[in-house]
Order: sequence, then C-alpha cells, then structure tokens
Amino acid sequence: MALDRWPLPDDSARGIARPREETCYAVRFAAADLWGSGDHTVTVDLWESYLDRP
Amino acid sequence: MTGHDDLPAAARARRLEERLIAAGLASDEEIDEFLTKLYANASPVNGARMAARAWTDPRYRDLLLSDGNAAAADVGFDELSYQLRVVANSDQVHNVIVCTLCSCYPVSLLGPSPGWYKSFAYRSRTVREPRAVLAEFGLTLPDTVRIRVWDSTSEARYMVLPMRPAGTGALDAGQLAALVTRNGLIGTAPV
Repeated sequence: MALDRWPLPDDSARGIARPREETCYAVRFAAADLWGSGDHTVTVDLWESYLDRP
Repeated sequence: MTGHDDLPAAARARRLEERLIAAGLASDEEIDEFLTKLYANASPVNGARMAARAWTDPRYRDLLLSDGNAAAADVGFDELSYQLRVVANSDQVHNVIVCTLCSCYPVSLLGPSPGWYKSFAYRSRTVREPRAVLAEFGLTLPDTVRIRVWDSTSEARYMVLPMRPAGTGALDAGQLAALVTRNGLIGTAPV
C-alpha cells in the first residue's frame, strides 16, 4: 500500500527544519518469512529510500 | 552498576528532564506546558465515539478507513501531528497495534497509553506471537481468524475499529460508544 509523501524520520529525529519527504509504503510481511514461524502478518511503514530495487 | 531498566519509568523520565533543563534545552514550565497540551482532551472516549459512529454511519466508516485524519477532523481533532490509519476487524481478520521502537500511539484519541503498551515484553512479543499475547489479555481468537500486527511509528499511528457486538441493534451512538474500550481500540480486547 503506497501512502502519501511523508517527512523522513531520519531527518525529523535530528530536528532538521525542512525534513526530506518521501513516499511511505505500508509493507506487510508474513511472520513466517520474518521469524520462521507464525501465521500472522506484521505491517511496517517503510520510506522509499529504505527499499532496495529487486 | 544500575541499569536504566531498573529505574521506574517516572524516575527515568525525570532524570531525562533534568538533563534537558541542565543543558538549557527546555525549562520545567515548557515541559509542563507541552504535556498539558498533549493530554488535554486526550481520552479513549474520542476513539470510542469514532468507532461507534462508524458502526452506524457507513459513509463515516468509509472515511475513517480511507482517511483517518479527515475522520478525526470531523469529530474535532483537526490538528493531529501524525498520519492516522484505522484498520477494521472482521470475523476473518483481527488487527492489533504495537510500537516496537517505543510507544507511539494516537494519544488524543486513545488517552495516555497504558504501561504495558510501553513494556519491552508487549513490544517484542506482539510481533512474534500475537495469538499468545492476545490470549493473555483474555482474547482467544479462533484459528480461522487471521491476525494482522501493525507497527506504529511517530509519523503513522494506528487505531483499530472493533466489530460491532451482536445484539446492539437497539442502542444509540452514545450507548454504543460506551461499549468501546481503549484495549478494543488497540486490539487487545474484542471491543
């Protein structure tokens, strides 16, 4: 799920007055892929620059 | 050596405040003013009203699930400093929110966060074994219900829209709102 452009936490956390803005994605992982077990999912918000191109 | 984890949270917070004040970064008055503003009108009653309205008004439900900030503004919270996302429970999906990093959470809509929400145990275990964590809260979900865990950040905070309990057809919005608990809005209770 792609969300709006949103201030990059790496900048906001440093108190930068005009933080960079990037598209933020809510990315859903299967627990089994993260931990090797579990039938639930875990969704985390990832900004564009956190993601690698496959 | 005494680790910071051995200190009660309030004492740890006070030490941090003292460091900020000593460094000239903030005064006691400024900290108090910030906290007063943060907690003014902050109550799970607000989130409960939004949930109850979504149960009775399909258009509001659509707004709540597609644009949480607009739905919050509609009930008077037009200055949320974060993106609000509301996720709906169904008989097939149960949602639960956590902040694995710290304790991010929509304070104005849910009230001050409970101590357990900030605990390391809740933050670490909810993403690993949510079914077991929920069972410890007294919420045992059938195996057929899928669990979705949402990890909040400072920028994006989640609220759960619980399912409307059966047999509540005759209740008005106020009575429905009274059924909704803070834990229901976090996802650790059915409603």
